[in-house]
Amino acid sequence: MTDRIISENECIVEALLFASDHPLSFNKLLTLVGNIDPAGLRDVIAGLRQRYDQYGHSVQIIEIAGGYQICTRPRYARWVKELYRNRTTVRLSKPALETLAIIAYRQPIVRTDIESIRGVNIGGVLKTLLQRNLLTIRGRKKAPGRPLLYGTTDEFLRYFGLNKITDLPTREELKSLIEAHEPTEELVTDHGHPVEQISGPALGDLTTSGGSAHPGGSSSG
Amino acid sequence: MIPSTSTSLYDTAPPPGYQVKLPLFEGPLDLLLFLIQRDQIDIHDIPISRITEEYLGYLQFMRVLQLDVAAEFMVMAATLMSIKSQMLLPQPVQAGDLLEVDPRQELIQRLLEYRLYKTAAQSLLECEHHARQIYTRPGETLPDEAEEEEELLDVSLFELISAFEQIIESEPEGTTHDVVLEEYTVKQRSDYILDLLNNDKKIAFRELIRSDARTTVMVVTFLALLELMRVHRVAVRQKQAFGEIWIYRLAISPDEEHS
Repeated sequence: MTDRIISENECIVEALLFASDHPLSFNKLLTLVGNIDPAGLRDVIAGLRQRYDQYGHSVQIIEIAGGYQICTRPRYARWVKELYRNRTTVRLSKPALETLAIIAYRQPIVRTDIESIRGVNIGGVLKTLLQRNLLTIRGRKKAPGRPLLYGTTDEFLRYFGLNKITDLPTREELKSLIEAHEPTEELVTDHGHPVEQISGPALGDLTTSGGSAHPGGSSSG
Repeated sequence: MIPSTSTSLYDTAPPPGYQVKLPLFEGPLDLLLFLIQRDQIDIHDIPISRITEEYLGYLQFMRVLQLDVAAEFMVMAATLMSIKSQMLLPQPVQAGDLLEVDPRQELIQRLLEYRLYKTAAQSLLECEHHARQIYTRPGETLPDEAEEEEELLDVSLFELISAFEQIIESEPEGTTHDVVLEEYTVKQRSDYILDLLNNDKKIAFRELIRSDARTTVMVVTFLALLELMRVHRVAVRQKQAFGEIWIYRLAISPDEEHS
């Protein structure tokens, strides 16, 4: 009897997640399903996830941008990518990623502070990021000129597959990552890409230690 | 990669077709970090004389290749030379100074901080890569009038201003030059917008702005719209990002009901 009720709820959650084109928050699901308590809903979601994993479903349920969403598994990316060929967005440039990284860790932050960290002018980059809705204006700083304060958006979380902003590696994690790769003989490359020297295999470590930082990747194995 | 060679504060990114991929560094800090890592230099103890030489050498190389060297690179060159000279000069020992300040300290701090965010950017890149492997259902095709209220996106001020910018920019320069009395005020244009909304449930932002081809009128209309938004008389919404922006009348306040 209880089994039957639970599986009906699983079906309801599944239907909701399937029909939605954006992540549904836990509370939203709670309201929509109705007649279920938080613990029950957690069980239902866990059960649904388990069912997807167990039966080798091509889709999975991820936690992203503060909600739950059904998405395809990474191993089927090459086919779906072909399907969506026309609507694939352009990947972010290096300056864009650096700017976003600074904002993500320091938000809300004014433009001049970002520029002084990067050492370059970021007018064009900011405009692009605002247009792509990865950034938003959070208000104005109480300082001379009342400069605009920038922060990241839900779209930022969604774009990077993050559930919440704290899923990003902490400063300490970044520091230890850098320390682990302080110059040693094998790190020197000769093709002029400084970035690769501090990344390379290190980022593999980062993704596993970061845990839920990559919901897509974590359940793909 | 957008070469950071811009000098104007309001430079925009070059259109995709014109981007040239060069082994160009994003900025002076980027170049310095590269030199430090290439030469396996301890970042906490930078041989300033050597690094200055290499830095200037690289700038020279960029010039030989006729690359536009951004002003920021020159500022850093000046900073490096200033630090170098400070290190050469004997520091005047002052009685109160217990700690001798290393002239490199500030630069090292900046490099360390920049390196931290560069690493963070790498991890974002990694996230991006993973996130691009998974697909969610795309947004549905546009909902019909009936459902609109629920599905519409808020339009931010920024989006509104850029939409206005686009309209102004796309307008051909006025061919007529009639000198007329400026008879438009924000109040008049507000009334005009509200009048339109009395007849229609919604009006298109583009059409509203273009309803009068004179730029000054466009600006006044735009200001009127902002004012109406501020006092919550109208709301602007769109069905999808970068879609057409619509203006809706908000619930009428009691004293307005009879008009």
